[in-house]
Amino acid sequence: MQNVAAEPRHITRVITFWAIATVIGLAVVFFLGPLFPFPTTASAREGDVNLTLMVFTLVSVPVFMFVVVFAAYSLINFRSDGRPTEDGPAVHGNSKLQAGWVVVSVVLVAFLLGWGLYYLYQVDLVPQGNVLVVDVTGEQWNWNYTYPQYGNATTNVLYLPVNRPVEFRIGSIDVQHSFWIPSMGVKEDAVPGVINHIYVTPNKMGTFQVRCMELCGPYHAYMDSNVKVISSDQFQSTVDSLPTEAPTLFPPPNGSAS
Amino acid sequence: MTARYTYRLNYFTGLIGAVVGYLIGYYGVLNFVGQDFQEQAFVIGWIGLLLGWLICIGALKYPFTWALAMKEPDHHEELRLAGAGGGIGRYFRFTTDHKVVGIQYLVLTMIMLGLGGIGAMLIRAQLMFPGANLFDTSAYNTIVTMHGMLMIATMISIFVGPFGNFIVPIMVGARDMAFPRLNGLSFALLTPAVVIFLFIPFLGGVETGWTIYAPLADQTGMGADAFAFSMILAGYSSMLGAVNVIATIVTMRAPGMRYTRLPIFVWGIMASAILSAAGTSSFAADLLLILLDRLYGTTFYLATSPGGTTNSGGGIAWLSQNLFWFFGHPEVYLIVLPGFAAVMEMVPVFVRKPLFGYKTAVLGMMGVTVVSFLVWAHHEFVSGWVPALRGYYMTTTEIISVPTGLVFLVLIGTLWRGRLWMKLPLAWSFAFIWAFMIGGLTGVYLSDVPADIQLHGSMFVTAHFHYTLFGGALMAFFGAIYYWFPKISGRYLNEKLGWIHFWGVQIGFNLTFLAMFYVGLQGMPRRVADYAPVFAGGNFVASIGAFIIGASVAVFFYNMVASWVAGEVAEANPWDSKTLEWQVPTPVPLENFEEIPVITSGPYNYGEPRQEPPPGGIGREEPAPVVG
Repeated sequence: MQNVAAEPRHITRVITFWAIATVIGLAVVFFLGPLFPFPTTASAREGDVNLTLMVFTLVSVPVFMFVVVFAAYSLINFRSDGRPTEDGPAVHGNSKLQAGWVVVSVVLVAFLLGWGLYYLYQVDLVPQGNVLVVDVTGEQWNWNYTYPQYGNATTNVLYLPVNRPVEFRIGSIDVQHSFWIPSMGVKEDAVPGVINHIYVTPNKMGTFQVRCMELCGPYHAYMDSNVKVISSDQFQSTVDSLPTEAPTLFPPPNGSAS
Repeated sequence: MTARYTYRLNYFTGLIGAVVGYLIGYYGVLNFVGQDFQEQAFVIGWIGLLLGWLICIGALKYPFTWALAMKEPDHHEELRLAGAGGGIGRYFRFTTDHKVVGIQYLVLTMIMLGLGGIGAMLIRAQLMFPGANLFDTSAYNTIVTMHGMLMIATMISIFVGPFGNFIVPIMVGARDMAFPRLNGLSFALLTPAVVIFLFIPFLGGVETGWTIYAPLADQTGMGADAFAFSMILAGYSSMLGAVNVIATIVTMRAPGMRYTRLPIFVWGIMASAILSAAGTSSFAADLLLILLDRLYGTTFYLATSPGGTTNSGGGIAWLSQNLFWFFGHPEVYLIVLPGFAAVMEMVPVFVRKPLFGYKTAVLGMMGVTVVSFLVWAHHEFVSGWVPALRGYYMTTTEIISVPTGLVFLVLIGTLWRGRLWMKLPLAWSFAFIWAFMIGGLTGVYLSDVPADIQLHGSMFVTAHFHYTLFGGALMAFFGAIYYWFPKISGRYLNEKLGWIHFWGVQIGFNLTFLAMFYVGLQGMPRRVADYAPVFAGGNFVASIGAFIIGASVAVFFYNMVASWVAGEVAEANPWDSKTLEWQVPTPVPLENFEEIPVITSGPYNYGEPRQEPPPGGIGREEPAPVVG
């Protein structure tokens, strides 16, 4: 057994195993990943999130397999039958390997960081043009939506026109809530005393979920509502039929005449 | 055991003092201040409880005698305080012997782990099927809060308490901690903290989750007072323990025990103690402001004062998030760093090889320690707080993966071409590698702002931090207890039960939390008492896994008790380890070393020619001419 452990061919073999495991892992992620039951994608933003999850998983596979394959290889090949009778080699380190490890980690981190900063820039872009402003008010345990550009029409079901950029202005009248539309990759806390902003352009018609993501008291689990993404004609007629209510938390939007 | 000792203050007198102190405080306020001050009465009652406890176990005796310029205790008196000749009774009173305090911590953290575990079982029972079948939503929220905070408090203490006290002073070659009475005091503070924490369900609960964000914390039941008060106490216990550990490691090392010869576990405990000493005060401040808001009508966190107009309060809920996470993020590293270190300590012993890249490991852990203070606002990516800083916090958060990743290099390098002796500590080390790998990689997803905006607050996050904290700290603890139990108790843990425990936890843990990743990606929020039917499958699997974990940990508790009472008696150095704690006899004598050893080499010189210990000495190698 001890002689086996001293063989130089271990490195070649373990790297081969690692390469095979990595290829299999990448194939599994690449082909089976899209089958995962993510929430329906209803905005480009959510599509970017799913792309990010996929890319990060692909980058993780070699790292994960490296650790797993080396650990498993050691476990199988270097295992001693009972209490070892002699010690292993007195290797205290390998400065090239340690430096290489740091360099590879830094390169990976730099890639992830560049990726993240690029998409952070994307999601923070303030959309230009005909932006629909929706004021979202969290209260225990309801979401209220007001359309300041449409005479402060108010509703508990969020109606959005398809393919028109939306600015959500989010506030709370009691405790912290968090406004989340899983299908659109939109989430922002509703913090009392503060108005938060987040932007999205829905690109798919249908009915989606709004959930509260910040524990907000006894009925937090039931603080959800629906988003209906509809055509702009339907949107106009729906909003016209809604009751109106004077705003409390939110100032008039810029360019409210649109 | 002589008549002299029968009159000593102990936990029983402390219990009486605590009850009397509590009743005086509570009814004192109600009778002399007014019946309306129910909430304040509880807090004053707890202060009475704390003082009654500390006085009646004798924790404050020496500060008083010192302040009154009475006789300074001589060495004989100090030994008596450390429990010399005290028999089993020394475990039931205020004591200064680091080994007794370590065992007291071990018992208390196991009780806390059990209580937190019961909370986990209740949560998973509620979530097994959709429809909030077991508890109403308020009770469920309280259980979530208590499970979270109890487990975090347990994990903070689970290494620094038992092993930091029992093992570390022996490892560095000291006779006790630097400040033995302070050590006794930090344990004496933790016990009432746990007791007061258990008031929560009887005071209307606290429905905030362990993050206790305002303004919900101002609104929820009186349990929030118990939560805040007890966790301030626990925080002080942790900080006092931490400065003591740092002082011990810095000043009490044996001659020749250079920093580069410290066992890696000592470095891990030191890193953890630095985080604890520097970070915990922020949590205490957060909780103090919550208490003031609740009890005295201040508005630190309230934008709107009660009954006032908008923004008349002037406070801001973001402050609550910032103070909390300025503690909260270093705190997760304070929990896992000793776990890293324990695994790096055990692996060389069981593969009979030196630690691969000792200095890399130390630098990695110290790097994590420093950077962990710069990342806290990644918990606030969706809070709206200074959106421009999100890029910065994403950067620091991803940078911290570089020093963290070094741990894996060190472990893999140490395993490679070793002589693997598959005992339970090594098995748990492999489990640690698997679990922390997954926990670490999923953390990268959460550091990415756009992905985090989607995943934040979902079950994905819950699964991620259970992989890091359970997988990184608790699994390492389980390995460490199989490793050090023979030294602590003088007996082996039963190995057969140990393997049942091991495989049960592996199967249950991965079932539970992989299923949680799944439902989290599907879009299930965390901390919900009920959920949509679409998440039913994953939750059912998670609950089954959790019950398997519960059963396995029950086996572990049974094993600990049974082995402590009637296990196989252990040798002094059963693993043939080279660190100092294994060179002293079992049970460890009162002042550890007859003669302080002189250290001439590092702790992991496996594979090098063996040198016989010097006659009469217990140093690892031949003594140097100078003995301190």
